[in-house]
Amino acid sequence: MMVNAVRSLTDGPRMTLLLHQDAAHFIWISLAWTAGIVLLAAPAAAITFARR
Amino acid sequence: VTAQTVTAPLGATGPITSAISVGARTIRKFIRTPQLIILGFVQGAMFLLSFRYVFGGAISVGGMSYVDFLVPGYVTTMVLFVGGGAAVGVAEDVGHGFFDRLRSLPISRASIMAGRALADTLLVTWSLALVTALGFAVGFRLQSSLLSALGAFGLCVLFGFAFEWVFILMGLLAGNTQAATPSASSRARTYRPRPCHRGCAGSPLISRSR
Repeated sequence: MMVNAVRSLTDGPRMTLLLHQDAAHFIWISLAWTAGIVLLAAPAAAITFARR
Repeated sequence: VTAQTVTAPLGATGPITSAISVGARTIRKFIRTPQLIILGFVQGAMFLLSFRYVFGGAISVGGMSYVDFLVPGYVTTMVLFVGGGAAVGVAEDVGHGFFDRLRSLPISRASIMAGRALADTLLVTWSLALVTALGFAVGFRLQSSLLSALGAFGLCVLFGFAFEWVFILMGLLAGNTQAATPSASSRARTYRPRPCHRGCAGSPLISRSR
């Protein structure tokens, strides 16, 4: 999803045809993944550091 | 003998100040180790050139230029290549007792990690910029507006920031440098030189898996 989002933004309409989805679709999913990763990993890292 | 008066600190340092201090230290360490800058770029360039010129002819991308398909994907995955260095850096800091010293200070624990994540994101941004420039040099051309391209670059930096937290967590859990570099350690295991006793005249690099 993240790679598709970057490809859609740089390759424009050709990539939309190839992937059958527009850039906004991939961008939103990528941002959701990014937020999810930060929300999980950041507290986990902070807690692991504090408990060491 | 003269008596010295030691005064207690006035209060805890703010989280932003401590995050900036930790981040600045990480960046200084990176700048003072030019091997990290040069070898990181050489590795990235080597893979990009391989995919572009060695494997490029064998891959067909439906109706579009292969290099235009390759470079955005490669730049995005570079986030993982470069970000992996953070796990090693954190494990090194754990091993050398740097974090133990910070833990004795009246500063926020989370700000230490935040500083590290921000500094490593900056280093990832630097590497992404270099690889993007190389991508243009090997024939990549934008098929959209400059604003979209800047958005794509920003998205990569955002991915970098997110994955830095994962790598920091891996570095903390690993605890030592070798465990934090799974690829390097597996290579070391596979090609570890076997002690050569009398009559051993073969190659020093003997696969351990045999």
